[in-house]
Amino acid sequence: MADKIDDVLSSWGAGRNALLYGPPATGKTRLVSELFQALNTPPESNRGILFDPDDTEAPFSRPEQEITIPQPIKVVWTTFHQSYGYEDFVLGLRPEISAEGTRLQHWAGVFLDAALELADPESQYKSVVIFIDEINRGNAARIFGEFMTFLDFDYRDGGSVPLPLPLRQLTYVDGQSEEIRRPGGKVATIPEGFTFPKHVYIVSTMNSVDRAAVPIDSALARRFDRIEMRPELDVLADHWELDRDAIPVPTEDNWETLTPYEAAYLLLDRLNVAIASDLGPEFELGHGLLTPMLATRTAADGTAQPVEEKEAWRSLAKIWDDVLFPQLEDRYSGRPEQLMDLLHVDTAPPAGDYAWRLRTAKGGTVEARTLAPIRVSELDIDVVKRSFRWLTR
Amino acid sequence: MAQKLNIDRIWWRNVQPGEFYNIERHHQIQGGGGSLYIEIPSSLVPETLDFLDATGANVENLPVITIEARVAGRPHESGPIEFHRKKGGRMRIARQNRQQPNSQRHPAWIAARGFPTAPDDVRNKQEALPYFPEGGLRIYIAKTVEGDYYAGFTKGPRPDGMKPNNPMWDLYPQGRVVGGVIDAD
Repeated sequence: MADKIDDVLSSWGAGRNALLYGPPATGKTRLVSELFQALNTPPESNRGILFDPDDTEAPFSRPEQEITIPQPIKVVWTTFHQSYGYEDFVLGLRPEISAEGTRLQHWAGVFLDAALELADPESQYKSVVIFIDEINRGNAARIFGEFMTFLDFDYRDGGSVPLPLPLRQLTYVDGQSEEIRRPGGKVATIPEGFTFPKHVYIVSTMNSVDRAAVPIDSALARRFDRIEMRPELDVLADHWELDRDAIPVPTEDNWETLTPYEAAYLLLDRLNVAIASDLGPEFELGHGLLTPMLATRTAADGTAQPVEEKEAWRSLAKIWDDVLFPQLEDRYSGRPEQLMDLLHVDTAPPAGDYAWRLRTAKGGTVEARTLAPIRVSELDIDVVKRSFRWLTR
Repeated sequence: MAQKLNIDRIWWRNVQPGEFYNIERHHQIQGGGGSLYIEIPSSLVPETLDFLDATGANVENLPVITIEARVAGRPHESGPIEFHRKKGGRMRIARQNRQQPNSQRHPAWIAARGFPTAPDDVRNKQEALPYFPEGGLRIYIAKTVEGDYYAGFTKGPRPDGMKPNNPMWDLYPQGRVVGGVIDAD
């Protein structure tokens, strides 16, 4: 995770915004949250070694991660959605009712307000960071309008070709715009020829799988450094304290001995290889889908105790039923044969019951090639174990 | 607390129980000599030469390289560390047996600094084993970006809660790792 924070900070340092993209549950929002913390309390860097010559026990440490943007930093969160527009992000009009009647008043959106914050001589902030969650759920052209240009640092104050803000909807008198309301009750005006301040940085997230979201606008895309968030099996190994070198390759001889955590690790690995091959890597399943699998339970004395193996299998089955399988069904929608192949429906274990099989009619007269509905968590524990272990192969 | 120094690289070597016995025992034992040094296996020689600013040197003709290393935790103390060539493309840190007459055991690697020690009359590796720390023993030499050297050691298993990005993570290796060089970048 620290490497990705480095990547974002390095993009900002180079005058670029950052876009985190990848399948769900690959840690995008978590990274944004860690970045948020890092801006307030810089974490240890992954690079550089410091040495305290007076310390015998732990003389080596990492330097603090260098925050490459001026501090203090104001942080603003926003989430794009289908109703999100220019009025929310740049400049909108809201009615103001007074004794003289109702008039429309200009209100600064998130992006313009960031610029006004840095232009305010009373502001304590030197930079503003805007986190945009789900950037591809909104209509980028409609949201950014002409401010798309100011995503590019070249056109801002201090850039190679600074441009004045093109807010033609404002009336200017004596070189100053009319009043713009800001969150918090402040009022600002903009001088004619005002250039967008340099130190407004954006980090956004984008789900690469969601079919409800639109592909990101190319004009928007080229103004962001893209940072890919991929499923990471090592996160699971660390989470469950597995020695990744000791996780066996499932074979004819050992598949029946896999622990629930080894099975879960190998299962995600196999599913993702199949998904990447069938649909593309952007459709893989994130490691975060499996992190809720129970590994420890807090005992009465407050210590963390490993859960019983049976409980871990049950937990895996519940996650399968509620999270993993619905995701698989969604990805393999319209490809039932591939899904049945993936679940080894036609090549079940040589002995014993198996969770996934073809659906049959009671009368036996209908020839069907469809998966029988099943909730694995409701099956006998031996079937649960056999089914997941078999599925790792 | 003194100002922290920027480290360029850390050279380290996993000391095996047999080597521990050899640098602790009496230097003259019945049945012959035996090694009184810490060996640097051929696999670690290129990295070691690089660490000593002798990148690419032919180890078969290598002159003795001596560095002056301060003691981690007691920076006002220092001692020389001699790197010698050894046949078979190997190297050695010479004169580390603490009982030999011309011993040059580095002051960072002595009992007074907490370095494990075996009785003077220890007779074989088996007898030395109870004195060898459970979880292993490693010596290290850190080089600052200014080119100063500091020597120290780690013993025992990796402390609980140590994060993988901790620069000391590799100084508590799991399994049979001979040693290596940790680069700050």
